[in-house]
Amino acid sequence: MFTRSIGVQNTLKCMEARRFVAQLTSIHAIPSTRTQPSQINHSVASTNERKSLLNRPGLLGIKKGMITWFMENGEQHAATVIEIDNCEVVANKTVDSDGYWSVLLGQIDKFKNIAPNDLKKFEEAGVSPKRHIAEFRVRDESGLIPPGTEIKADYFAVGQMVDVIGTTKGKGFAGPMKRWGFAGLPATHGVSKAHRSHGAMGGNQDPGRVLPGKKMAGRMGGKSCTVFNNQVLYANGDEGILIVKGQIPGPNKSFVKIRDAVKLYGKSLLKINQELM
Amino acid sequence: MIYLKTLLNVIDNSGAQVVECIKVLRHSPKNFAKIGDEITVVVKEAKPLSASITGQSANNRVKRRDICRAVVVRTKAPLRRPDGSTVRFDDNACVLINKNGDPLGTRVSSVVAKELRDLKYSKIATLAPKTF
Amino acid sequence: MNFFNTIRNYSTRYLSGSRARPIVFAPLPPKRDGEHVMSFLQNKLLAKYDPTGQRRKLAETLRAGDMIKVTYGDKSTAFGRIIAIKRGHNNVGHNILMRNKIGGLGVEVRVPLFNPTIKNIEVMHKPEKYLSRRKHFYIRNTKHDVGNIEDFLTRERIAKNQSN
Repeated sequence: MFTRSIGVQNTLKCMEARRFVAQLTSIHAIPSTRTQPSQINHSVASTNERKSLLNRPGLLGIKKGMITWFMENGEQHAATVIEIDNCEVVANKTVDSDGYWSVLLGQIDKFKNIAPNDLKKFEEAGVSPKRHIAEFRVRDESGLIPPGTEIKADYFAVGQMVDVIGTTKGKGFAGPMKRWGFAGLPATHGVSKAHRSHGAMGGNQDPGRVLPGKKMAGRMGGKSCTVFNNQVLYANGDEGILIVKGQIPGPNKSFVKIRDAVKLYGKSLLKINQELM
Repeated sequence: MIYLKTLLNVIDNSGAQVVECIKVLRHSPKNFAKIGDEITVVVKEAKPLSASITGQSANNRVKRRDICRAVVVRTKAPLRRPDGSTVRFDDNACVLINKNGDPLGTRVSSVVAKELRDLKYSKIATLAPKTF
Repeated sequence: MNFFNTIRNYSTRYLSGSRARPIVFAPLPPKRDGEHVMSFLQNKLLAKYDPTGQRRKLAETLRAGDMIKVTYGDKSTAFGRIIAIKRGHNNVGHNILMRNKIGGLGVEVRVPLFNPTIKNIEVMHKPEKYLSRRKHFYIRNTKHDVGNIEDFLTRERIAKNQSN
């Protein structure tokens, strides 16, 4: 009797233990987990995140001409001289007031023919009136610079890569051979007064129209153009001279925007930094 | 600027005198060969075969219509150097090589460009009487 | 502009009726003492690459037809007769095109005048009578063409020694 009762108790214990070890749970019984809130891709915030915006603004300059530049090892390069003439911060734009972060810069002092409204803005900033004003978007609040600060040419380090944005020389109304590099029509074999024209414009009854974006004659040049990854060869803040390797768009005396390079070897710097982290 | 059909002088003792470029190697079809570039050539003119003059065995010599490889050693088009100077010669010339890049001949008769020294053709530069 | 130089916050404020005219701030002091960027840079580069003024003098005095010897930093030399001189504008981009014959083959080299790797440029010979034109491209493969310059200069030196 005594022994039997112990045996029964043991078996009960075993059953009890097994009951708690092997417990089947239905997937419907899993307690709910907290998920990330769904991101709205067309919101302003996510659009700004997708853009390859820089952490700091660039600089405004004037193209002055091209020179020969010798490196220390004797290498010779063509280089472009950019003058930085009293480039000062005029205003900042913020998310609260404008929906994005940006810095407004002005260059070249000007004292005649300024609208009173503009004069007020320059007074607020604490700078003399400027001839050319341009805007640089920045990633966040940390990139803003207080108005009235002068930015000098040594803002960029010698050896770093910069992008230069300028307006190309206007070529007027140009034909398709000059504008798009078309081959033109033959010189002989019955071609009459159409040696430099484009050929066919597209299909016949199908599609029955000229497709949008067809390359044709028209105004050439005078458009904004960015030259990526120019190396800085010389930067002197007190002299106001910045020299970059290679050529930049536009004629001499034209205004250009210079900023830190946004991409390296075809990859955005933001992405490279993210990969490194 | 060595294109398809360009005639070049041969300045070694492989037996060929004038060759024609039939292919610029390792370049896009629209591009041209500069000094130090490898090309495929066909022999247009060759010296008559006489082993006693060159001191070479007959099977090492090239004949007319042979196809072989060559490296460009002089061009009429100016070559720009990193220090900003440019060099041009009065003729287009090459040296015949095998597929490993060694010259077929044993001698190089006239001046070649200095650039060959830094490339894998330093043997041609040492064989030449003068580099410029 | 004189009134700007005293203080930056100089104001031209005055009252017209009830509304105040905005303050106009004076500009920052001019950089480079107001000198033009390109001329300032040219002077600076010339002072750096040609402190003695010897190369500048060469650029003015040399003429197509002169024979020169170029010595590089690694002690290699190049001889030639000048056939053209290109003078840069507002920069140190001058260069000399010179021609020589080595083993009967014409070779031409364009030498950057102000390149720091060039140690010395020496005038070896000036002809008594110059050919016409500033640029002598037309002498290539004609009776006016150059010979071996090194041989010519050696022969000339020997003849001079004998006459002395």
